[in-house]
Amino acid sequence: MRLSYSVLIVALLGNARPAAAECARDLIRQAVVARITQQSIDSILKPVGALVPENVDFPQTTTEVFSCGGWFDSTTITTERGNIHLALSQIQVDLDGGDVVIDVAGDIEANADLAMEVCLLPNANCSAGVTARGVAVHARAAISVTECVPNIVISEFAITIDNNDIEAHLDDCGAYTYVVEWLEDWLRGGLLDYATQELAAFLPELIQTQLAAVTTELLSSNLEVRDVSFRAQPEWIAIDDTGIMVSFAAASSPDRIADCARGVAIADNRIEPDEGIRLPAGTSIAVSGRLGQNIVTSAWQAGWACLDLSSVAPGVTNVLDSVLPGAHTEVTLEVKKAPRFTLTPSEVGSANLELTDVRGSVRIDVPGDGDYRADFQTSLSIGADIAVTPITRQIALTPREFRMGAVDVTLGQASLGFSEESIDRFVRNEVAPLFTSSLAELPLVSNLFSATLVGVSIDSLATSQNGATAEIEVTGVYQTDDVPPKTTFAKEPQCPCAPELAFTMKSSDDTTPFEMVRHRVEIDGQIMPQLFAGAVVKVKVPRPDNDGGQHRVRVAAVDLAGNVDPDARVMDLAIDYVPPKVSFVNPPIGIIPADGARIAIAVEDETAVADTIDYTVAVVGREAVVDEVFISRTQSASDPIELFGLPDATTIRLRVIGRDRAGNTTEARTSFAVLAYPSMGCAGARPTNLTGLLLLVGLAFARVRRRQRC
Amino acid sequence: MLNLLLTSLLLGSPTGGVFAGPTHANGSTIYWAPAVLGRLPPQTAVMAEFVGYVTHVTYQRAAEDPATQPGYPEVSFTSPTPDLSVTFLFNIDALESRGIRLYAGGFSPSGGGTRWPKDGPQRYGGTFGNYITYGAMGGLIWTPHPRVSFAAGGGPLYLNVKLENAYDFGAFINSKLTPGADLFALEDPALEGYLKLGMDGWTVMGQLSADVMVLDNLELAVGFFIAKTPTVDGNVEVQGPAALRDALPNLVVNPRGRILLPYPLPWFVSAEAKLTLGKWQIAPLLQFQRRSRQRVLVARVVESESDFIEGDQVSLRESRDEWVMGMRIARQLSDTLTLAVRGDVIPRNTPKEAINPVGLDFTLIEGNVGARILTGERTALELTASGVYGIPVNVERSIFNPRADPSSGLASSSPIGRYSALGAKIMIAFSARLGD
Repeated sequence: MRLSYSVLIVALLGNARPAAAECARDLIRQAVVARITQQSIDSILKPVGALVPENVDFPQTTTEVFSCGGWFDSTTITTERGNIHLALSQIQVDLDGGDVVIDVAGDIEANADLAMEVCLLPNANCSAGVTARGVAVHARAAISVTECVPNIVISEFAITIDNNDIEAHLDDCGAYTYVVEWLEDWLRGGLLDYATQELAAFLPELIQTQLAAVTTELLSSNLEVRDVSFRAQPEWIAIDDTGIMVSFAAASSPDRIADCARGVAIADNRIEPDEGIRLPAGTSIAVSGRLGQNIVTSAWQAGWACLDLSSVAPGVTNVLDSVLPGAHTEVTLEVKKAPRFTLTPSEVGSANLELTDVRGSVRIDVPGDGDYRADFQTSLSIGADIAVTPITRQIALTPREFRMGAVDVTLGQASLGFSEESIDRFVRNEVAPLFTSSLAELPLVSNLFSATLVGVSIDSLATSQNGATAEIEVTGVYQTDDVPPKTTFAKEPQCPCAPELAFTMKSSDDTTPFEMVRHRVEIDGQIMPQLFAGAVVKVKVPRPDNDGGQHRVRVAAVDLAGNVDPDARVMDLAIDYVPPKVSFVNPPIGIIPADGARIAIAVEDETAVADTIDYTVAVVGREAVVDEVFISRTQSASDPIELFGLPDATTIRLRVIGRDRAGNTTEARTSFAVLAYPSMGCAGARPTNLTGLLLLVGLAFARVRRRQRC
Repeated sequence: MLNLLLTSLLLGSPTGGVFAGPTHANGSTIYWAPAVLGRLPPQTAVMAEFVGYVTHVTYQRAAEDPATQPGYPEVSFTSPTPDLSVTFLFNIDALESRGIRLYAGGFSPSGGGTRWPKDGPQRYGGTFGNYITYGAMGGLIWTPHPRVSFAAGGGPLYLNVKLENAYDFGAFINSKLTPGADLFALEDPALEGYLKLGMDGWTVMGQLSADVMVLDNLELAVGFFIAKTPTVDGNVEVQGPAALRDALPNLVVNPRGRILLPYPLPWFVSAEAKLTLGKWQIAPLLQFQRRSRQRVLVARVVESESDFIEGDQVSLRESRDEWVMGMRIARQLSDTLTLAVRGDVIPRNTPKEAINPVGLDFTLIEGNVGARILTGERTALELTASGVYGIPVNVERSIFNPRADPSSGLASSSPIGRYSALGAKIMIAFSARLGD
């Protein structure tokens, strides 16, 4: 089926329902500018075209062909049970100044049953049809926006039919077929003219009716930015010879308010209008820095900065529990004000997040003795790189620089030996790095327009001081899609597996692009609340109370229309919760009088160990600072670690991470001192008269000793 | 890290007084070289020696940043080191005819460990220490020629160790966290607990010695001592910090466990030449000790109630092999009185970078003056007074680092500073021959 795409785009832009085009006062204006080129138009309109019917009923009408006069009645023909078949194609959209000019070529085929009363002759019935090829539809539209609602004024609309390419015929009319020659003229003129008029009247109405629903859903649907709803309404439209530029008034709000953000005054959330950015040719979308700020603010409200420090607390808990049996430690971190998002002027692809009010606490709960708590407050500045991840084609924000302001510590009355300095150190060196790592590859944009009719994925990204420009691919999805996707694994997990499962998927769908297919995960009958976007699905399997390691995991692909694969893959996986044991085999102890060492590693597990280990070598500072790592490598687990060029007169820390086949890791650490020339008696003591005298007396002995010690 | 360095032995001086040595027969001969007993008249003899030795050690800990911070107050402790040794020579006619005699004896080179004040900056290095050994030995002396004697013997050796030191719970917890993320301040008195160790064990020891009269006025004697490494077995007990006791009255933080410590004893060879020139005697002494056997001590804590002290505990000593030298000069003033002076040098066998308050080691210079008095035809009395000077050690850089991993033995508080030691010793020895 071929449809007139140009007409559809006019309808798309011109028939948004006012009710759907809410233009709230606090919307950001002109923050998103999308340039829609031909390619994008095709992508967007393809699903819309599916909404247009191929056939239209021909209405029952009675037409007086001619009057017989006298005693004879007039000759009339009544059309019954007819239809008009539309076959429009060869869309051509031209941008002419501020107008959109649409030219479409196509065919019209009209068929109807005829009831004829012809003067003195008996009444008769027959079928008639006419086919006109090379019908040309021409339209010119001027676009304007009023009160956030785009209006389309069609200034020109014409349908041209080539009379030399019309075929008309009558069937089953008996003697009339060959006798009444004048009927062919009627068919050529009357029936086709009627069909053309009907088309001209029907087509815009049909498109308006059908696209109203589409536009309503499109413009009122939330865009997904993780847990952030993102509304966009057309605000102004500009047309030049390179494309249609639509400026949306946009606003974002969190789908949910995270617990850590409840009850907090949001002073930074109001965004003032900003000037949009006109873009060069290309399918692209521009986001101003202010919209970036708004998105980040909403993301923060949704819990983006609610740091889950469960990975910190167990470590501290395990340590304290050995000293304080039953002790439980909880570390919390909250960002109390929305982050300030700015694009770095001097660096392309760089952004900065200022967290001006970060508060947290370290709380130790000892059974029977209450809580002991230290609170802290600080500020963080995070320099980040903005880029598009190649596989998932999502925007990723990768922190590369981390600066922390002064840490203001408030100790509880019973602080168990906490000091302001120690809390400062703990926050800087334990909590802050974990916070930073939690921000790594933060998917700012997952699937725009997903779950509606259109998917948007990002090909490239450029930033400037004023905003960011993304090259996007717009993908249409048929509304009528009810075909579920197919769940396919690119790489199935080889178990026993670590509790942190990672499935590499290549699920497919007939309409949803690969990178936009999401997955639903069910573990032991419990469906995970979120859908997992991207090619790699990562999910953590909780450890059951009975220490059992067998779990039933079901992974089902979900397309943009919300269809779920009913034949999802069900796997019975053995989860290995026990990490391997990592130890050093005869490690250097104390002083090594050389700048190198050869250290064997033993990795043991109840099943099998991985082939490689990771290790780092660092100089241990005497202050409470992070180790200065100068070697970081991966090597075979069976080979000893060969260290060369170790700095003299330092304490070296070797950290080795071993893995089992399931992926569980264990870290082992050891330290040793590198001292090429230990200070023995030769240069150690300050000489005195007495020692000098005795050394003279024992000269021979001293010579022997010097050879040995020095 | 459990502090197991047992500094008592490092602070000790060679057993005996001014006359002690392989070529001299007195109570300490059981330690030096029993072969020298082959030169004594064929009579049963009893010899005993008591040494009272007191060491005074001081430490001026430097500030972590000397440019901006004052140093810590100087602290000191005094540690006694008593030593009683007894040697018996048995003369049995049936054996005497074959040139064989029997000997027996014992010694107890006991020592006090570090006893730093509990409120001082190095309380983590040891607030109390005792190292007591009791050795009993018996053997044969074979004298195939009037100028040559050999001796071989052996016996059990008992060790008893008691140690106590402050324990920094804050440092321990910090060590488990990411490096640099110290949650607690180091050496916070509120987080200071105490660790007590009590261990004992026994082993077997053996000794070979030879004595040769090379010339009428030149005697050479050599003794070799070795002991099998004993594993001392005992209990470790940790007393929780005061802050925990006060803040958490319902919580008892007193982990206990069993500790097993293989404690390698250094073997040593002693050699002395005694040259008699009329009424003068000159006797240089040389001794080699295999101290490197004690470079690393690894204890294992098992069966502990709280697992934070369980497992291997490395104590790092970094001791090297040791050469000791000494010289005795004696002058016979009358038939009953001989005066002597003696100097000994016991070089430090530990690198200066490895010196810390629990691993003390000094180059000791010992001066002795004494007299030997024949109180009868068969009895003699020896008296010695000694002064010991430990050459101060100024530790400016150290291998110990509180941020090192505890399992490495390198994790301890800063040992930077100046160490010095002085000692005083008195010795009284008595010998008697029995029978005709």
